[in-house]
Amino acid sequence: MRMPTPIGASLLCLCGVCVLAGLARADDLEGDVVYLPMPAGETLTVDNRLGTLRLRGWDEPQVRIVATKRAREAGMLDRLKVRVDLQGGKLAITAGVYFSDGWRPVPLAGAGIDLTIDAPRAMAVRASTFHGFIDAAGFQAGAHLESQQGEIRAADIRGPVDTRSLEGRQLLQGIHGPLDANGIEGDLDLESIDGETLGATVFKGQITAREVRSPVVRLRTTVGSIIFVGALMRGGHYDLDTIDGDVRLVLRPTPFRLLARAPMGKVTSGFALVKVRRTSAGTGTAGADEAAGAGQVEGAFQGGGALLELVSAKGSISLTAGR
Amino acid sequence: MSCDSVRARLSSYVDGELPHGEAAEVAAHLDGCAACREEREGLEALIVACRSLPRAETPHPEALWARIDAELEAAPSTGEVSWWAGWRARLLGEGWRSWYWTPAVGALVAVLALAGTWGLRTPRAQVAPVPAAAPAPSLSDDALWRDAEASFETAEMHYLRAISDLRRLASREEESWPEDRRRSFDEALAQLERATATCRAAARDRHRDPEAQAVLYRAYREQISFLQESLLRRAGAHP
Repeated sequence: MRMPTPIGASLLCLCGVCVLAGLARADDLEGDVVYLPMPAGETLTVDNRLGTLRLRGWDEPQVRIVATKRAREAGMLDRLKVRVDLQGGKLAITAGVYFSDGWRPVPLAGAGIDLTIDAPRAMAVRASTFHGFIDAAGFQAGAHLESQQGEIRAADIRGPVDTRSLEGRQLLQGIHGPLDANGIEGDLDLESIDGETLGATVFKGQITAREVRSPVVRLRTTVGSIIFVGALMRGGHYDLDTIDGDVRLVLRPTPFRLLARAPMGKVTSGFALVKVRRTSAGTGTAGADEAAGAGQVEGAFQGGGALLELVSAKGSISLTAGR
Repeated sequence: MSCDSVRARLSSYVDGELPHGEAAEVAAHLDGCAACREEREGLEALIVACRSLPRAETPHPEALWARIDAELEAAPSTGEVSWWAGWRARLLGEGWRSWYWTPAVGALVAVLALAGTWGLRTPRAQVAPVPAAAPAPSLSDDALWRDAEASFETAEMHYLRAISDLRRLASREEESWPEDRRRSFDEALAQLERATATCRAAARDRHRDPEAQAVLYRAYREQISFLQESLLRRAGAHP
């Protein structure tokens, strides 16, 4: 039976709030809610292999850690501990379990700790989970987020962001900095990304990118489709590759140059391209409806601007005009 | 038994580690399910390939450390930058379609080998001494470890399955590649596999060290990203 930790509001008021001012090295936290003064926080590293992790950037000069433990056996709850290591402006928080010979950060199915952490926005975040999700928002110095089998969600983050997941969806919104998203299995949803570079790679899964304002974009899947919706940046470079899937773009009309290759499918364009070349039909000029066929299409819309390099080794490629 | 249940147990099944009754259930499912049989074959092929590689010697920390240090000295400096910084340098500095495998893999192997032995050389302060007030264990350590190891095993299964799928794809595609490209791909992959084998040996030797598992996962990820990159680059080669 699942035993919830006593984290009711009354307990919080009575005894659950601790303020640790003199923390200088690794210590176990006692209490479900802990505040750490952090006037000049630099980095926040969280390793929670025991559960979920919610991170929020806030304007307070302190860090608040809320830990919620769960276990099938009541005796397990005492063995679950969150360890905090503070060195100057660098804060490391790790969830683990006591074995008879020591404490270790291992994933468990039968017990866990879910963490909610509020920290100064200026702290650079490095966070990882095993089974549980990571949800990070509101930071201004970038984030590295990694999960083996949990979903990754990030929103409203400035600075470089990179993500890694083995299995699980990633939902990244409002990233104002270079983004490098990597997944092995699971869809990648990207929205409102405007860093100088956007790179996203997944082995099995669909990549959907909406309203991307990065001038250098590289989206790649091995098995899965790529969908790009929005406008192209003038002078931008867009490289969208898949092996087993389609590449679909819904674009607001802006000039672009196109190199599209779909050797086993077809390339269709809703834009009037000039200097279209098709391996199957030779070289010529084509209108919107004509730019369809197997093989390779090369052309320019409105004189060219952004460079679009699109590849689908086994699927099709389509460009349609959107608003 | 469902396909998911069978696939979650395939690694243990192939290694002969399942209890007799459970193994019989998996075998019965495999008899009637072609997709799961294909999974098993892929996994077996990968395991055979890994086992055929030279077994990483039992690391002698000081000697190995010296050797790795020397390898790192000799490795191109790109191998020492962070993944993100390296990616950006390649992306913005050298052009997307001019990557070559060998130097990058050489550096990667050195870094992986370093990572694989790092855990052996410096067990981090994550295993803390038991404090006087440490909670009294209620569950046995073995039960807890079984729980943790099941998680490690499931994750490893996912990595191996992805590698197996990618290798299958690559072996199909490789036939159409130019000879020199194929050779450099095979050499690079073999190097990566040896590095992964080192990490796997470290993880097996220290099977209760979560850090060793993390390093092994990193090695799997590098192999996956190499295979993906190789496939996509060939598919994306604009004439």
